[in-house]
Amino acid sequence: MITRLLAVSALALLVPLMAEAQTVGAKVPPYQAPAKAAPPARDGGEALDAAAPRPNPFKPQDDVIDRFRDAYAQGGRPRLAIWWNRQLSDTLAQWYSETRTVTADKSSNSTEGDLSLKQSGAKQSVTETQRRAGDSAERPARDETWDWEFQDGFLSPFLQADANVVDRTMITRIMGAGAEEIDPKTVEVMAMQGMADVMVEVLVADSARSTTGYELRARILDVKSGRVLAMVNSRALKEWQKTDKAAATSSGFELPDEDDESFGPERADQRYKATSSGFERKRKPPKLAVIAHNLATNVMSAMLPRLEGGAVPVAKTTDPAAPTPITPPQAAKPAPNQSAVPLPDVEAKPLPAPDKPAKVEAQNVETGPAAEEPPMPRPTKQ
Amino acid sequence: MKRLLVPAFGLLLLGGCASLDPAPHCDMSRVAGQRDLVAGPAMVEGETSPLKEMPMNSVSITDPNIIRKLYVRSIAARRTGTGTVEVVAQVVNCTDFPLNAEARTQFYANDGAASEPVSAWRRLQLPARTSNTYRELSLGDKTVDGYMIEMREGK
Repeated sequence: MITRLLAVSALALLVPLMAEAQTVGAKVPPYQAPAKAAPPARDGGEALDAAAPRPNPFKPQDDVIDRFRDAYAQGGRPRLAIWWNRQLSDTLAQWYSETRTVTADKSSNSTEGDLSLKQSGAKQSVTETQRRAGDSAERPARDETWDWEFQDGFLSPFLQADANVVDRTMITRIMGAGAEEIDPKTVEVMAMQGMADVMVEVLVADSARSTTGYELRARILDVKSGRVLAMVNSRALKEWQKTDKAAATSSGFELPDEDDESFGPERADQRYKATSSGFERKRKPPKLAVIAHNLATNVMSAMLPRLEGGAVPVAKTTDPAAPTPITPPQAAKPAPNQSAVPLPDVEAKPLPAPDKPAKVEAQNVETGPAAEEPPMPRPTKQ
Repeated sequence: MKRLLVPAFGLLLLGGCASLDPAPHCDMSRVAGQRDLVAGPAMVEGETSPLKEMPMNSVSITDPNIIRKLYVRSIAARRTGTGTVEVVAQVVNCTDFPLNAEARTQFYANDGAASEPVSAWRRLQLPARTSNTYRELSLGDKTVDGYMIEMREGK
């Protein structure tokens, strides 16, 4: 009996010790990166078109820039004045008036001496209230940094081609220095004719259909004759066209939506984004500087035939470093520009008072009391 | 004397029967002898820890109900083609009765921390005197450096 008890107690002691048994196994082998799997072999072993790198339409086109450099030198290196998002308007003067008040004073006659009769003429003064017209050349302002990036991208190919680019603001200021009484519009035209040969007008407009949210337009004008040398519209550029290709999806080939009128540049490397409904192609357009660079090269391409054909007239006499500023005595009449097509001569026009031609009337400046007896107080129209 | 003879006879009979039993035969005393509990990290330097615990890369039968019935014959750990770790443990039912067992695996990083949540319990059916294979895959690849398998009776 005692032995049984001893045996049972000995077993009871052993059992807790054996409550946990284990077997030690092998260690985990070190990690080795799996070999890169080769793409699955396809029927015929032909590489797909998609596997080949897609040509990037927005890559810098150095060949166009080189061609432009040669054609530009051949064309006589015309000076380019670029108008940044500023439209050429047909408003001649910046000031206009809606009303004109004529005050006439008539003095009574007086008799002197025997029969001599002296009559002083009636005095008439014209008071005109002028308002400054809103600048029609101004366009909705964009973000300042947007402008910087755009101008950087647009100018870089021209500077790379060693083009003669002048700043519109600068030449206007140079031309108008000391002649503040002349209308800025006149000064602007004089500056463009005297210190530039070609005007490049670059406009940007908001567009909801474009992937970029805006559209661009560049117009190249000959400032001497007003001739349109080239016109580039972003909507018509082939880089901005949609690639209307059928897309292979899990439910078969899908043709592009005919009602979808959106357009705009797209990245050459098609990027996909993981969404909750699977991978979706990103529609993000290229960077602004790249788009501006592309527009500039398209402008260059459009100018090439004109430059090579010698259609761009270049002023030979003027030196852009030393323009002839307007002197105040000449302020009444625009200085005759020898290098350009001369401005229309104001004096040549039939004036209301033939005996006393008023030179200042062309600019609608207040005539003042000196201009006596105009035949009719003609209201000024805008 | 009679009392002593009867158990001895019984033992002889058992021995004779055992030699006729089909494999596998589990020598549970040797299984117990192979136990290798390791000392945990000591809190005081130079002292051995009083705590003994399961070693890494092992199968631990934590259920006293099946500790003398099952034997883990082998454990293997290997990397799959994608870099994850697969552990395979071969379990033998040493009894003449069908058994149900459950096992799960915890994978550890090389710093001793769990590299991922513990796996779910996976059920094993073990008919009498058969072996079965427990298999588990890790979720991580580079992070996995060790593993620990727990086994209990499936009820």
